Amino acid sequence: MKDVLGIIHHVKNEGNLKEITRQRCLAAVHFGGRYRLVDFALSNMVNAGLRNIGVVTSTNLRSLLDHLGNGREWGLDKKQEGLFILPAARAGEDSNRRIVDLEDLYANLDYIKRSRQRFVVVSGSNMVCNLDLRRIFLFHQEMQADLTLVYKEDYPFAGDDLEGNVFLETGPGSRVLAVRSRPAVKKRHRVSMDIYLLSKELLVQILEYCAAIGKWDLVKDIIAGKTRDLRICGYEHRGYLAIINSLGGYLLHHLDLLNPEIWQELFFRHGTIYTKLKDDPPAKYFENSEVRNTLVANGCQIEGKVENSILYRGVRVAKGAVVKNSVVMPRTEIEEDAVLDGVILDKHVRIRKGTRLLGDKSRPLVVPKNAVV
Amino acid sequence: MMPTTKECIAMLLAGGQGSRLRVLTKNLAKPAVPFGGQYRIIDFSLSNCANSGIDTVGVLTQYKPQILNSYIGTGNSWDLFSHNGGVTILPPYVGEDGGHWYRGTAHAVYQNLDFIDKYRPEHVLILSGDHIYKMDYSQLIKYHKEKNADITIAVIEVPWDEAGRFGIMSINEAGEITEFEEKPRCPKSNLASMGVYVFKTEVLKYNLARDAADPDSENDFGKNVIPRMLKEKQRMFAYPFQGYWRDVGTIDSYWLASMDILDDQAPLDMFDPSWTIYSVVSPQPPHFLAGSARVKKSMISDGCHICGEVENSILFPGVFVARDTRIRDSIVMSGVRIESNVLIERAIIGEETVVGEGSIIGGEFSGDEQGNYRSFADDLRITVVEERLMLPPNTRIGVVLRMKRAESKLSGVAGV
Repeated sequence: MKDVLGIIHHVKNEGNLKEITRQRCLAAVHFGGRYRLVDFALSNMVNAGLRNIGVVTSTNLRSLLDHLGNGREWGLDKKQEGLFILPAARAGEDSNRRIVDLEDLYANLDYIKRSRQRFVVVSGSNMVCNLDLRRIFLFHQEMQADLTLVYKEDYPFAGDDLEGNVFLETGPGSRVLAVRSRPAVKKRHRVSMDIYLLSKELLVQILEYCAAIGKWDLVKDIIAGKTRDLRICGYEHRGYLAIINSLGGYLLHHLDLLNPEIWQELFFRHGTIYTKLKDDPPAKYFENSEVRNTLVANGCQIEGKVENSILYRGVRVAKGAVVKNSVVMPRTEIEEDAVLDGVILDKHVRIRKGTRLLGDKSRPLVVPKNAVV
Repeated sequence: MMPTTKECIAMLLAGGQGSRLRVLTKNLAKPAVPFGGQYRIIDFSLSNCANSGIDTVGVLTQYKPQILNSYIGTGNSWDLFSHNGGVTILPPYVGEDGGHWYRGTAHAVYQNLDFIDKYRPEHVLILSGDHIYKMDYSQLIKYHKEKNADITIAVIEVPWDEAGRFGIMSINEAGEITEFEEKPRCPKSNLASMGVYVFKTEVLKYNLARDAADPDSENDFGKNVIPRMLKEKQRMFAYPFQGYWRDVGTIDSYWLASMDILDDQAPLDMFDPSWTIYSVVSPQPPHFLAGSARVKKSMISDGCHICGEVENSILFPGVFVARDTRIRDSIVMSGVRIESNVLIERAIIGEETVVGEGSIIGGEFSGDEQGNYRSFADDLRITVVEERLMLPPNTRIGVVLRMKRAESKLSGVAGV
């Protein structure tokens, strides 16, 4: 897999996540109790042996840059190759809704051309999974494909996260016959996981073609019209997938992790999910704490009651407080006798003594970063 | 090249075997013994250095150093990686005139005077890697300079009835040390040496060279170098430290210090953002408490999966606790797997051991039914199970010391 270059593209369609992407780009959105979305795509690449990875970024990038640093936690702080931050074509602007913006890649054509790899895997960041890219590479070669797309069959869409997805229609020999923005059939639909494998030669050709015609969407402008000219194949991912593009889905997919099989698969199956490491002591449970069916990160201090929830690093739950069906992001403080159900609390939030916040699992209430309620 | 000079560098003594920690130090040096669910003992001293602004640390290793060496690495886990300093591991070495094991703490530092000279520090801080405490060494160094001392020794008040276990200092009104007694039978003071010294570099070099030339010396700071300096009336001051400090040299003291951090008002605050305790952090997911889990007064690390009951205990990363299992007053190291219907009380379970279902470890049961597994105890009757064991279902392990005394009781339990 030394021969594969990794590119994580900047996902522009943030879906229905505005309230948590106001402060950060989608790749830097928290997931899984201590991670950010980019960790999953990046770790899948690193675990498959990729050693040269570029991450495209454009807007709201401070959190992402802080998180990635020099790539040390992913073993990418190398003298040769390693982690590269690739500035998007139009810095600070992501109003176009291209699915994979090739203009961003064209802006980094030098980096791509100069890389020593002969293949490229391009991936988004809001498809959370733990998959083995080596198998996809083998599949790509066995199928003698020009382009391989990864898909998930019958993804159980929750709430409104159906929007903005790409669906594949496949035929004999795993050939992709068409791409659509809505599933053609309700049953046995195949949703694209925003992962594309192709030769560097083909990618460069595509980029130069795009520059000539002035159209830049890999899915709409290239794949949709080239299913005959190019040998495009679909690879089925049979494991767990969470598509993060709506608030309801954001909470529900967090709660998925309370299933030990999913927890085990997502965090361990084809290798560890790496992330920026912080020094926190283990979580501390006090004399009167009552916690069940919950994911708790290091650095939490719990005196109250927590159920069906995800607590990120350094969360404090004071005496008498009750937290249910909620996601609580890092360093948030829940004071005495507060009652929370169906809420998403962003980073550094303070919930004052006795506050009651009731949302709904599929329509959670969101408290923005640094707020005091 | 610019000559480098530094105000103070630290020499951290980490070569000790810590034999009184028994099986806990079977495969690693005492400073590398895991502590507090997330740390190794040496993390406290290294974090103190980082938080006190000391950026150059020589770590003197000797006994079973592999785990310690790879743990310390470049020192960047403690933010101690720098181009002019950082952490350097200093093992015993062979020179033109042959090689020597480190004969004692003073000899270990003496063998590395070249390392100290490279940085040309004004002062050298001598630390040991086997204490649990948070201390701002910059305050100690400031005091040392204000007193224009040759050596300043950090001391802490200990309960009078325990003073006989420590190196005890008597001081005068100016804070000068007038007397030093190692483990006195009738202590004249309750100020115990913490094993933390700061020397003027020249004074250190002079005294170490002389000590090395003395064939009768055991080459130990506490036993030889400091008593001799005192006899010669060198300028020696005691710096009174206030705060939590524990020597975790025995199974009992290790267990007690571990239980201390579980108090609702813990005497050592590990959550203080202004004094981070650094360690090598592993990328494990948040731990999972199942619907059947009950956890009280405990510290649980990332990667644990708990279906049973945990009370007053510390779980290191990646521990699995099955349903209907109870763990009380215990310390469970990384990667341990505990099957269902197990009872563990007042025990320390070594890394990656598997405890088969229906087993009883420690607690009321006293004795080793099969005699296959080694367990040890001090006065508190803590059961210690070695690392990487596969304990079959229904294993009974208790405290060996009690086994002989309670033979009649044992035979009664053997049928369980």
